[in-house]
Amino acid sequence: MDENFCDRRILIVDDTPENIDLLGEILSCYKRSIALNGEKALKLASGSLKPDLILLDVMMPGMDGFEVCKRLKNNPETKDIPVIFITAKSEVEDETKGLELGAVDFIPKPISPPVVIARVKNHLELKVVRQNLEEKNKELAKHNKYITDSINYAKRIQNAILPTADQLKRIFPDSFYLYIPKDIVSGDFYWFKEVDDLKIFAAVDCTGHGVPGAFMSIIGNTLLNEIVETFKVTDPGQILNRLDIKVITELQKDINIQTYDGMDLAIAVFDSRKNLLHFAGAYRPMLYFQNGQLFEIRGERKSIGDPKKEITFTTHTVKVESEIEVYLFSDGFLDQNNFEDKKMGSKKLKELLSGIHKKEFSEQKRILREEFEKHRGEITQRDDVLFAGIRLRPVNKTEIISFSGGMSYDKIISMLDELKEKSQNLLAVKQSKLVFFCVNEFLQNIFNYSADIVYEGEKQISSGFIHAELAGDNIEITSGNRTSIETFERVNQKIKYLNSLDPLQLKSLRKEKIKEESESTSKGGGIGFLEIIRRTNSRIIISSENCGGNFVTMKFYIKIYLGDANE
Amino acid sequence: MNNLIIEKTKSSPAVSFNAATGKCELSGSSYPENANEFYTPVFDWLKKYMTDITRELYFTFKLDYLNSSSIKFVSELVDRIDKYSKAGVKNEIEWHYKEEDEDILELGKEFKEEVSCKFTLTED
Repeated sequence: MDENFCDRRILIVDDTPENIDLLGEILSCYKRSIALNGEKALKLASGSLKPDLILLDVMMPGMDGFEVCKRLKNNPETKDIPVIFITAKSEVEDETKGLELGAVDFIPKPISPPVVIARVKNHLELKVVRQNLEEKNKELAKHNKYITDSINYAKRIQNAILPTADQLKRIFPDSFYLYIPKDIVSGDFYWFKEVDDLKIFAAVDCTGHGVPGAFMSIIGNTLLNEIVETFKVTDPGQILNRLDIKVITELQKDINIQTYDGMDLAIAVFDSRKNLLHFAGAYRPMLYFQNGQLFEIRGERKSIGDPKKEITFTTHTVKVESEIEVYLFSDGFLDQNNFEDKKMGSKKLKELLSGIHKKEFSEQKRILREEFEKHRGEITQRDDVLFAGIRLRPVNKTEIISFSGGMSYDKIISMLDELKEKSQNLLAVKQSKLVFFCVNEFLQNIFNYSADIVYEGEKQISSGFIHAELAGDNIEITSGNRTSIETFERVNQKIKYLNSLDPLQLKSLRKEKIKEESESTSKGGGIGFLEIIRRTNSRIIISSENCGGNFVTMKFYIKIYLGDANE
Repeated sequence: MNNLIIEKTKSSPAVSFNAATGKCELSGSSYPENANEFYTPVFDWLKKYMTDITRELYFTFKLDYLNSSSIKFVSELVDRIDKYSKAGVKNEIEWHYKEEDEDILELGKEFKEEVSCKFTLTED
């Protein structure tokens, strides 16, 4: 360091004037302050002519050098001034004590002038370096905070775009996702939509992580929405083909410019009407378990946004014949290395999943997270992690709850309780409650208000049945009675007539019926559901079929719309 | 023409390209924060070799982890070597993978399928 330190001030503290003179002479190139005792030294150190370095004698009457040093270090104003002890006492324990108190150096008496000059210069230089470092650190901390604050805010935006776990459960009631960003924001994201009978889920891994990854994820999210919602593309292979073209054009990719920004993703579409699961992948696979066996469908060897590979994404289809567990994930989980630099790897993941795929998803999520953390240990997380699991059950192949005999109110209620319990497997609790109330109300209507119409002229009926089936998020209720074709025809006509009425007319008719009902005792299946059509947003469809003989059934479907959950 | 030597770091592979012998090796893990920056000198060197030296390349990949952007750069690297082969140069690529490292093996298989030059898969 070439800096000239002559403008620096040295405080010399010694009770012996001769020593002060000597030191003053040696250090004549600096500005000097002098103190003959500890009290004076403390006063000067924190005064207006604050020294840059203090030479401190240990043995002084009154307050000794150690005490002075201790007080200097305890005062925020003086604690950063380097202190060098100058003393005849050169025993090790003294040096140790002095250094422990915060002194930077020791110079033994008798003094050697070149040593004093060199050490003083060194410590003045060190002080400058230290100050610079502190300033730089402060600056860095400031910048770091600024950037971190900014990214934290960006995280809020990313979180706002990402759908919540509750929203996912509405579409996939039995599902989970594990989302561990490497940095504050993430390049991995999940996306899902429901379009009519199709439920779509995508696990997306954008190139890069942190801020660049997050930027890319916003593009991906927007494009997926556009393709599926605006352009109504629901075939996964086609979605990826569109997405590929979009990313290439949106990012204005030039085949001559080397950029490889884009995304890898796995997208699955469950067709709940046909019980088919469609899949397409861009460098990402889908794992699924059916009948206890693990299957893997590999994606195409092409990333979204790679203009060089002319590969078309194809759709793979799986029949959902029994309950299956589907797993979609980014590579962050598999690629995590441990302290031996060994990756988690797909083999280990498959073994792990084979052992746990039948467990509750909340439990699986916990295990996967634990395994990830266990494998990672103290090693830094390499990439963003996204791991999602969805359990699908074939619909239509439903559990039938039925009973025969007289339709007593108690039996209907007990059947509804069973229905409610079973429907919880299929629907989120909130929805199942809604279904329960809806069905309950519906059956009460049948039970209370329609008996006289159904059994007009045939009052000897003694058996009936109700089948309630869970079909996806529909509840299908079949109500049947031993009755004649003629009666059924009459009922049908009555339905048509009731359907043609406007709400006011229907209301007045209903009042009339209630009045009649209070005087009647007959019970059975019927058409009271018409009231519900007017009173809830749930769609009720009626169809009727003749089961042969004089046994007639009527089917009612109640479709619960997720959007109506608050009503 | 100079050799290209880049020291291995935690997140980027060691690069050892020899202009005199044509022996090139890429080994280690590749997940640099800025993959574009890391691979630019690699591609520059290769381009110069292919236009100035015009001899064979003996390429060895000993990678144990590549993140998704690195895969794209390495894929491009293999692609360039293959194109260079198609121009009549007898290049060789050796792809090493560790036992049980299915992902690296799969990646190697994929490249092998795509290229027409000599490509060997070697288990270490």
